[in-house]
Amino acid sequence: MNNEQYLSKRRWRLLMRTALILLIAAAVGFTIYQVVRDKQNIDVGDQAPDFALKTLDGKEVKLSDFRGQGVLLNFWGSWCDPCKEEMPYINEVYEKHLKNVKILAVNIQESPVVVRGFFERYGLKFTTVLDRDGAVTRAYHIGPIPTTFLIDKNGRIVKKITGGMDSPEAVEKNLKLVQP
Amino acid sequence: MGREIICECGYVNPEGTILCEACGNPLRDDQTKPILTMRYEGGARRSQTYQRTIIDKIWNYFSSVKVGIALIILVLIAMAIGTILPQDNAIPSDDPETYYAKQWGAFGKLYVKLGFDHLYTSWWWIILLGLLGLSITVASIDRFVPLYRALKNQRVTRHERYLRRQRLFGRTQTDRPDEIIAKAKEVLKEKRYRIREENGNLFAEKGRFSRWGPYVNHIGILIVLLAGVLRFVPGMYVNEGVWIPEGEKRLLPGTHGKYYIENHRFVLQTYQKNDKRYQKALDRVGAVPKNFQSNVTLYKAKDSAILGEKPKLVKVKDYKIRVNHPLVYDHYRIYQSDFRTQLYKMKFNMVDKETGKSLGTFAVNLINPKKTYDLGNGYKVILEDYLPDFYFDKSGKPATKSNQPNNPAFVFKMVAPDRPKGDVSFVGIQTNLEPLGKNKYKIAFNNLITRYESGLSVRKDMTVWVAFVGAIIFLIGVAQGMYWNHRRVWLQRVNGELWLAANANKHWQSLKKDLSVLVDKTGLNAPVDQLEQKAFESENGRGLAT
Amino acid sequence: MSALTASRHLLLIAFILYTIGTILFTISVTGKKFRSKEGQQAGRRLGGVAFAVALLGFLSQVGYFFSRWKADGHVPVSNLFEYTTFFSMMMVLAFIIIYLIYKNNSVGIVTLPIAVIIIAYASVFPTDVEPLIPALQSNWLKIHVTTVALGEGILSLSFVAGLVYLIRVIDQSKRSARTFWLEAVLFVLICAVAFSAVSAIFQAQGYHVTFNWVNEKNEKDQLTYHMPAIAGPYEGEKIAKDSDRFGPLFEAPSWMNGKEAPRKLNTVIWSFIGGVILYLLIRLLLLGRRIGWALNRIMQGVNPPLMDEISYRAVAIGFPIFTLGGLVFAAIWAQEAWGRFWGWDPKEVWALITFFFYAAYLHFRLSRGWEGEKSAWLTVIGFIIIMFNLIFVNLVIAGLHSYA
Repeated sequence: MNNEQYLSKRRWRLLMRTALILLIAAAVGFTIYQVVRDKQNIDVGDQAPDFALKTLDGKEVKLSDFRGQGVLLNFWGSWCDPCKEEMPYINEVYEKHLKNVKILAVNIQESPVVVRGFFERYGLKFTTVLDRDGAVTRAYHIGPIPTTFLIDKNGRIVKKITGGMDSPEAVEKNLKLVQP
Repeated sequence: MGREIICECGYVNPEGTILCEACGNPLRDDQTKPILTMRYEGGARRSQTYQRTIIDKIWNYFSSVKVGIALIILVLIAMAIGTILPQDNAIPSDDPETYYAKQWGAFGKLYVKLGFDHLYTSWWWIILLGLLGLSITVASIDRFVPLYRALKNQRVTRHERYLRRQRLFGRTQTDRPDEIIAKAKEVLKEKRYRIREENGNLFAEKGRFSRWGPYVNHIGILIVLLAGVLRFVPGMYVNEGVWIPEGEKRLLPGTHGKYYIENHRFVLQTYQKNDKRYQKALDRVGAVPKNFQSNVTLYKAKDSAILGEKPKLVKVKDYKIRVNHPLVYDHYRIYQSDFRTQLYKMKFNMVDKETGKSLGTFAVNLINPKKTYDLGNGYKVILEDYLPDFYFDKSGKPATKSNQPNNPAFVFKMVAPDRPKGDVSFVGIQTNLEPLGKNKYKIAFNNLITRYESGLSVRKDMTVWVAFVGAIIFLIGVAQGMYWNHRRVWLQRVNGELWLAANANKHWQSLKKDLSVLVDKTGLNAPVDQLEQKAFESENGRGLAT
Repeated sequence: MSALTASRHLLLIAFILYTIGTILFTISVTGKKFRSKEGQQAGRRLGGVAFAVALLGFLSQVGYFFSRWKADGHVPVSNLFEYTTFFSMMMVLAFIIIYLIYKNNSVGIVTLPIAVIIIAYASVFPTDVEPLIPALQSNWLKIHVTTVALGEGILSLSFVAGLVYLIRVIDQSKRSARTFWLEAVLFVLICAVAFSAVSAIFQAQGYHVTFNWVNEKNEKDQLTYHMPAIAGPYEGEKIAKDSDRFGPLFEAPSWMNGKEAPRKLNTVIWSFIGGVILYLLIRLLLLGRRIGWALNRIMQGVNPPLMDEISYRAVAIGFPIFTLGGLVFAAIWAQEAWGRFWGWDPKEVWALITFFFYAAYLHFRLSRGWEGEKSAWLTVIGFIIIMFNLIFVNLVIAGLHSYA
């Protein structure tokens, strides 16, 4: 074996070793990235999953019908105390009828009797749809409620709020974020 | 170049070689031990010979068996610690940090801090497995190449020092060496050895393929590790759960709106108390479940509807899902994993308080109650409000704790011909109040109807087959390496003697049996087991009392 | 005679034959010297007889297995009594295989008494014929559990050979850390004997005391002890009827979450007490000398390098079988029953720990200086891990396998 052959053999070997080590490092890096990144979440920047649910009157509402408008999407339940505080604030803002924004609440698996009772008790006027079997709630990976999403005119999520908003001003400020 | 080592026999060995690849001559004479170390045939592990770049240094480090063992032990200790407390998916809480601290104090806190609560998805666990994978890869490549070379290049005629220092070695004075060698050839051939001859010397070899076993099983392990990585590739793995009450139809989560399932009935069977065979055990432990089963129908959505919309469904099949008998369709597997009872309907009577006469019966669906219940003859009941999971909140007002009917309570308005405005009554389990003054009528509890909910889990795992193939390759590799062994016998003429030397990479007993047959049939002197000899001598030297 | 009665008789016969085999093997080896031809010849003949007796015992136990199968209506490996008995049977099978390869008597001296201890240990658990819960109703029960038991049985034999090796080579002429740890291993084996003896004594008296307590599933339950309660259930109360019975002296810690863990803990404590008494009695009989010393005398004829090879060979045979049964078959069944082939359940994890441990053992043997005594100590640790998974995982940790 002459010197040249010997060196080229060693160069080849070094290349192969580098490639193998990088390959394994990449596999580890990929796995850690996937594990640490919580897939079980819908986050800011994601496209809001479209859905079609019925209101108390049986009318179908489709999220994508509001393209071109900003949307405040609020997940709630009648058993949730912060929701009881927050809903009247949302209603207050709703009554201002801001331009080009839509307020939509999604009730989580409760019966119309309960929801209607709740809306009457608190004098709420905005629209709520009923997620009877929880499919939409699941798709949005809702944990604690209330959870509110602010969706821009392109259907992209701009902000996610976990927990209640504490004043009508807060609601309005958030809503302005997505007003086109 | 001078890096190669040229042996007495003229063969050129790569740098770092310990035993000449061709004749076995010990090239480094630091081997003063009476028995040669035959690991990897004394070939050069490349990594040991030069290390100039950082890559070479990493390579060199992970090539060591000691590092491999250290990694195995680290993995082992981590897993053992991981079983001291339950993993975070087995605790009744979403918040591990507070739960572990509350349950196990400072130790629990530390446990979470170090990631042991989710050990198998913690970053350092994945790194540990990655390093193990690296170690397996590097150590295998680094050993396989020289071993393969050494076994391929070995010559029939071996150096005297090589033969003398084999564990099994014997000399025989004879004047008919040809005859013995011919006979030996015959015997060894019968034992299925591969025979090679050179200059009247004999070399017999058997089971060399078992030397590749470790490398095969390492490939298997790497494939299993690869399956673990693949699981995180989107679309490869689905793991969801869904509760479906009897009589309901639900979207199967994880199927992207493609499949729906209807639960017709949940069946719970227990072993009969009077079953003679099991009577004694049943008396001791009480009821034992025999079968958990959901009778379901699987549907496929005809068109892709958006979420929440009911698409047109086409029936796929009816199936009885039982434990150990999942419903399998289109890579999805649906398992019977749990069940629970749900309060479904409550039946009431409207009663005249004075006479105790019932004016009619009605049933309230607790999942989706109706507003009005007409009892006829001008009597009707209106459900004013419904609290599925009733309690008194902080301000003392009735409220509901959840959307599940765990403790239903109702506000009823009872309308009668003589009470057109209606009496209002608050009815719950064990409660019956008249918040707005004295009533003529009351609502009396009649009956409670429950139904089962089936807990089904939906799985799809496209990595199963990868892991399975890896496991099979691993098993083939270990069997290859463990159930067979590599045996070699040298019969060589040296100074008018016949030298017999033999080596097995493990399981010497099988080699010794071969040799005892060889010795019996050829008249060679039996070889000495130099290891046993050493043990015996050192013991007698120690003067152990007898 | 019903199948159940037949199975009981056959197990008893196996028990007796193994005991006789132990004695014969011991005589066949006693007093012989390493590498003395005459001694080996005489020993070989008697050893052959001993092996025949052991083989008969094994056949009788096989008879037990199949008659019990008939009585159960399913493969008899579904509760602790059945599994443990089956494990002892697989250990004897492993011994038979090794004997056929190596024709070595000394392994028998230790294997058979351990098999006897394990059968005695198993017989303390409820021996009623039990029905199968839905999770166990699968063909994989047969395949998975029997393969695991066979693998563990063979791996245990490496411990047996390792123990013989240690008894043989550890210098008993002076006290050292090695003599201490060897004594400790022997002491634990004696505790197992004591466990069977103590259980038999209290069972003969029909002793029982019952507690009201909250079990591992957080349900109110009753727990009946068949030995006086030294360790009571956590926050448990004796039922009114038993209020005048002995104990408890203290309560089991709340983190012991296995099925009926407090009772098992109590049993462990009794075994320890019994073990200490029995150990001291034996030492008294030996005029204060170590048990290791006495066994060392008996085993002078043992060939250490051969024992090392047998121990290694047992791992070489057992490791792939254990992997097949304890990991591969286990994974296939888990995929069928629960939809995930691996779920990090404690019992699964400990099977994987066992796997990794023996993998480490096999790699250690590649390093110079790890043959012989160090390897023998490793097989002791391996056996402890197997026993830990068999007994303690169920004691301390609640998991999917806690029905056993």
